[in-house]
Amino acid sequence: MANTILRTENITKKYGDTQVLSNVNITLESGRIYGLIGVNGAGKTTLMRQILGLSVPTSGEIELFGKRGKAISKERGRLGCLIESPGLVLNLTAKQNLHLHRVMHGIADADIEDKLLETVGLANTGKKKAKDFSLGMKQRLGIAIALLTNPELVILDEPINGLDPIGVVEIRELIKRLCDEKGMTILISSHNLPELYQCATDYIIIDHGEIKEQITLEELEEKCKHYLQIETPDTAKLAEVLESKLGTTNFKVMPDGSVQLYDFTDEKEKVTDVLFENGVKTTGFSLKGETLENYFISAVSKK
Amino acid sequence: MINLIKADFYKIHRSAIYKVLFLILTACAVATTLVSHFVSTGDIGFETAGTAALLTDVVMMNLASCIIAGQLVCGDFENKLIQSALTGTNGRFTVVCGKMITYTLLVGIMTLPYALSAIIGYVLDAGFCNPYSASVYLKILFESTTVDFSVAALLKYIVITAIMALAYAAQTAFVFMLAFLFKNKALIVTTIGFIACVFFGMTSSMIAGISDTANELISWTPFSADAYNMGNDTEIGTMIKVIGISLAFIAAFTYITYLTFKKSEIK
Repeated sequence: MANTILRTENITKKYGDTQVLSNVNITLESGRIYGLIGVNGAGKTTLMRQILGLSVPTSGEIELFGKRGKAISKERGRLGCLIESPGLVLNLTAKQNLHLHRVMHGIADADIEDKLLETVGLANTGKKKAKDFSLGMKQRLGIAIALLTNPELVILDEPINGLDPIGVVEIRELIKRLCDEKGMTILISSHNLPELYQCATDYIIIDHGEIKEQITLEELEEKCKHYLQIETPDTAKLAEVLESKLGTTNFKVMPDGSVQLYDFTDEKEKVTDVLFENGVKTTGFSLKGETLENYFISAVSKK
Repeated sequence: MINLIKADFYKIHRSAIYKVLFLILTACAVATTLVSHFVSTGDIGFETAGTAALLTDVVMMNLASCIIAGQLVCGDFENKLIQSALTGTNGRFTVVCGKMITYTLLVGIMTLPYALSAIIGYVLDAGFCNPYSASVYLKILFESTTVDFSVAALLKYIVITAIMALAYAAQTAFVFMLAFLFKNKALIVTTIGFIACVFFGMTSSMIAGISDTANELISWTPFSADAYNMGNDTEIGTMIKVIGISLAFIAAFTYITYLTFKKSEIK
């Protein structure tokens, strides 16, 4: 059974007269990958900062691992994070940077440094200093640092920024692996919707500091599913023809009497021919469904 | 907190800037000692020695402390290590305390060249004078000509150098607070800090000269003459007073720093 890792209650953040977050309520369950989607300035990083304690909410409360108030300070030790760019000392090597953070967090296991470098693909960087790393290498090292404490909740802000296509795939696989094998919960923000779509199990859509929607992948797929919308005065006959002549039960009768057919979306002519041949009168026939991008756009444009 | 301090020292021992700063201070300490010696032998006149006053601990330790605060605190805001420290189990007070301890220890380490040259000079008894009155280390060198060598005197001088290191950390503790206030703007912190240190150093003796009350007031700060005039004849009570005042100043500025940092945004 999934546990609630994080719950925010009406988190509001103001900078002077500017409201950056407005009554944000989200809930994260353990072992899931949450994609935080929003345009630039939507409040993604600000929300992550509130969770991490890098910024103090103007009002509202955060519950972390069941703890509230001052008690969450201790619980933050169960978090790992990469916010925008990683905290690196540029004149140190990848291993030395990991060592520095390991000492800082009081982790005794020295072997973890090599294991994490291996995990993020930086095992062969040797004496190369962080200042000579590419942006992608720095991001990988940042992810390794975020994983150093073996966290239960990992917060990654735009982790694939600057990564090459292979790097993007590797990081995506790594994120999935961490979730599947170690049961880590991951909150990941990105502008790259197709990329998020390939790894997230849940989506939180934020715009102008407001949470527009929090939905699961299943719900999103349902909403983004393409279908043929058929309107007819005789729904029963239509259903019978679909089952007997087209051999499908993959359709849904909607309350308004229209039918959503999820098969044959690429064979519209075949469907219309069969319906015509079997005397089903149609008053409406169209291909419907949204792409992830369109769904996101429609979600953020909701009042 | 101990982990934060350990991490700071791991980073410091791999950083070139602290090594360069230590070397510069070593060169300045040696130069100051040589000037003290050559003035006493008559090879250098008092007027010529005046220009070397800039190399004494009084000036150089203020500058070094401001640079240390800039690097230690602002540098960590710049490379986001403060962020990393806070996202562990460390609260903001722990982070501020850890940094202040590292800062105090580092200022202490940086006074070592002056302390060692003073102690070595005292042991060698090669003839020194004190052309600049405000330096404890030069006073020790000067006293080598009047105080006979003894283990007790040597130990007392070692304690005095340690107390002076603490006094320097206390005098510049407000720069540490500035560093948390200005976050990643190391240059601003170093510049404002150094100017303010010089200003306080100059005005504290002037204010102390105004009246007995003002003198009494200044005597309860790390800028007190008690700190600068420590020598073999200094009583233990005075030394304890300097330690107490210095620790109180460091503690006060640690708390003030925490208050300024308590709810500040960390980018």
